[in-house]
Amino acid sequence: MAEVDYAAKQATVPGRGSAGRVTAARAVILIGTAMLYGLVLFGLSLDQTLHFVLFACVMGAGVYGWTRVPVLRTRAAALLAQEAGFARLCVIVAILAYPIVLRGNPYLIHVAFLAGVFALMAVGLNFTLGFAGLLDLGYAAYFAAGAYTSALLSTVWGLSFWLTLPLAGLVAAGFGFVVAWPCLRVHDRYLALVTLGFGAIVELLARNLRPITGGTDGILNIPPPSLGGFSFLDPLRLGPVTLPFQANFYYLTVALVGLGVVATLRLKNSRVGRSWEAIREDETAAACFGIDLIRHKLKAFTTGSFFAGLAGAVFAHAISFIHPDNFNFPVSMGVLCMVVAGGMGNVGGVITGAVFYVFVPERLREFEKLRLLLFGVSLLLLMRFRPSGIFPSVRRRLELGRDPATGATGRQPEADRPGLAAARSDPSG
Amino acid sequence: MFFETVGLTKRFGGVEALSSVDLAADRGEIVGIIGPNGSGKTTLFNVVTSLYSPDSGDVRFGDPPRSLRGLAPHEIAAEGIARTFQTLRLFLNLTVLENVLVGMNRRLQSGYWKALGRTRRFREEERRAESEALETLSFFGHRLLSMCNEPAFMLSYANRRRLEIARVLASRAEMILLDEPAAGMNPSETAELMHDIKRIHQMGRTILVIEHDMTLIQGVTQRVVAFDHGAKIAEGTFVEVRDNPLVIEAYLGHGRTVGHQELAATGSDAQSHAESPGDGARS
Repeated sequence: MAEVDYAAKQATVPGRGSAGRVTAARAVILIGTAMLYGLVLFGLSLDQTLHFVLFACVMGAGVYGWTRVPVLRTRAAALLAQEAGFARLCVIVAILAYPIVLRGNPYLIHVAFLAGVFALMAVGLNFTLGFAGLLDLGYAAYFAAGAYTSALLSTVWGLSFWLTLPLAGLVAAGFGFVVAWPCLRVHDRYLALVTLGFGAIVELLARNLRPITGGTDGILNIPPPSLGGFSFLDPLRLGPVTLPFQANFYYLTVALVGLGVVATLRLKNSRVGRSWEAIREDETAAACFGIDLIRHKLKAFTTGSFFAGLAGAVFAHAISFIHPDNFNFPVSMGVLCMVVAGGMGNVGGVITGAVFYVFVPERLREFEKLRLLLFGVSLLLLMRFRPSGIFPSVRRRLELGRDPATGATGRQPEADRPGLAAARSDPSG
Repeated sequence: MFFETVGLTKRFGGVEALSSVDLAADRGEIVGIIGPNGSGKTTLFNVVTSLYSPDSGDVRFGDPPRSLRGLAPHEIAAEGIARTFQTLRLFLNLTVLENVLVGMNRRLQSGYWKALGRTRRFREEERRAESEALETLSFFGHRLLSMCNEPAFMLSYANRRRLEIARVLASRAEMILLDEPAAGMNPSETAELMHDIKRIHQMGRTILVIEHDMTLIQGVTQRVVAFDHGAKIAEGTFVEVRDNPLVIEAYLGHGRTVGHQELAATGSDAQSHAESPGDGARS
């Protein structure tokens, strides 16, 4: 939602609807969100896989059609830019209401929890790949570091989850730091190769270091978190409604993803975030303007692995059983897909990517082996029609435009030579 | 001397890109650097900014002077040397304003934790930085200011060159290295650029400028240094260097006595003889 934040800045220009007033724009956003939300929930709860596939195709076509009509797109962008805060509120309410609406379907809440875990990882990888532009193909290693740390600390020493959670993050961050230290001396595809190697090493360690990790038996009976006598395996009572216990884990991951989003937005518009993006854009120029490349890359790597560690801890305690297969190469690839497909650098985009990545294959389970193929096809289609992701970072920024009043239509790059026109408007020429 | 290189040498394999170059600039001086393509001008800038490390020799900078040898590029920036690039190196996906903010990097304090905590000092610094960045952009009138929230890739070519300069100004570096700032600009844009460089000079900055456009060199520099095959071959006022036989030979080759008059007659014509055909298109 980085772009929404950007839009919020624009919305502070005078002339927008004053806070609290119910404007037509807000009504449109509310109705739009509600309709989209209802549609998506309806699609997810379809029992027949075939129906779901049909639904997904219709939705995909609808979204594609939407992007083909510039008027709709620019109107929507201007609307969102104008009422960014309200739009954000709608999204937050929709996310929080999810388990309440679907309380009769614990399975879908569980899938949403998994999506949350992956979203947390995607938010983390977004620091490394989206901001600093460092390709990390062994990202599952930090996920593993977090999961094993938390699992071991709680099963062997009996530490509380609330203590092992931050420790898992820190251990994963430390691990990321140690891995990054030698890796950052190489660039681009070499960095990808080295991180790929580290990812493989960690998976092999988990598989073969039997005395510690339990080898292929994994670690069993990881206790669920509990909060003042309330176990996370108890149903959650919210006033008159009772939610299945999966909702506990859902809300936990939502809170952590929220933390990640806040961290992302805060760092993005700061000296550190700008330095990361400068490094991604042009290392040489960044260095020539006083940016210490190694230090900043280390920061990006470490921050990214911290969130993977948190995700690992939550995953371990929610599933109560971890196994080396949970941390193999496809997991790294998956998180990478989420970030790239969602829109690198845009935190809202990468979360959408994660949700997409978890839900679609899950609903295609009926196709057994074929489902991965179908999912691959869907990724290919995505890359064909939205090459820079579902919500690309910069393009979106352009679509939103600068001035909500003018509707940001037809933004073209400046003419290569402004020549006379510019010279006339600027007397200093 | 505020800035000097002593016996600076850089080899690439068997090629001596810089051979024992001594070059100096006083505080507040504008020195022009000319020479045919491949004569080592940009290599000099790359060595000074530590993108390349020299094989021997030293760069001294500051008051009192201290050696810059062995410093990393970002440490050179911290010392107060900033440069533009001949092949533009803007952060194209960042906004114009953000490009300038990155230029200010060395003067900002707030780090990682302050940004995460959004402390008051952080917010104040960001606000101050932003208004200062806008002020820096206003150096070019409305040309960049009106585009300040657009990504840099939206800028026209000439404005990209201007943004490179704005980024350098934002760093408040005392020493500015301009690498062919007029490349690809038309005559009226070049004239405007000359005016801008003079204004930067009036701000008390020391400037080294590499340029093929002799009008610009003649118009803004106080002293000119000519390079050929990695060595300094002449130094002095524009007229002295222009009339130096070694310089004429470097540009036009042996046995071209006619060339002397040509070069002397119109300084700016010299480039079209010496440059690669591709560059001819821009005049």
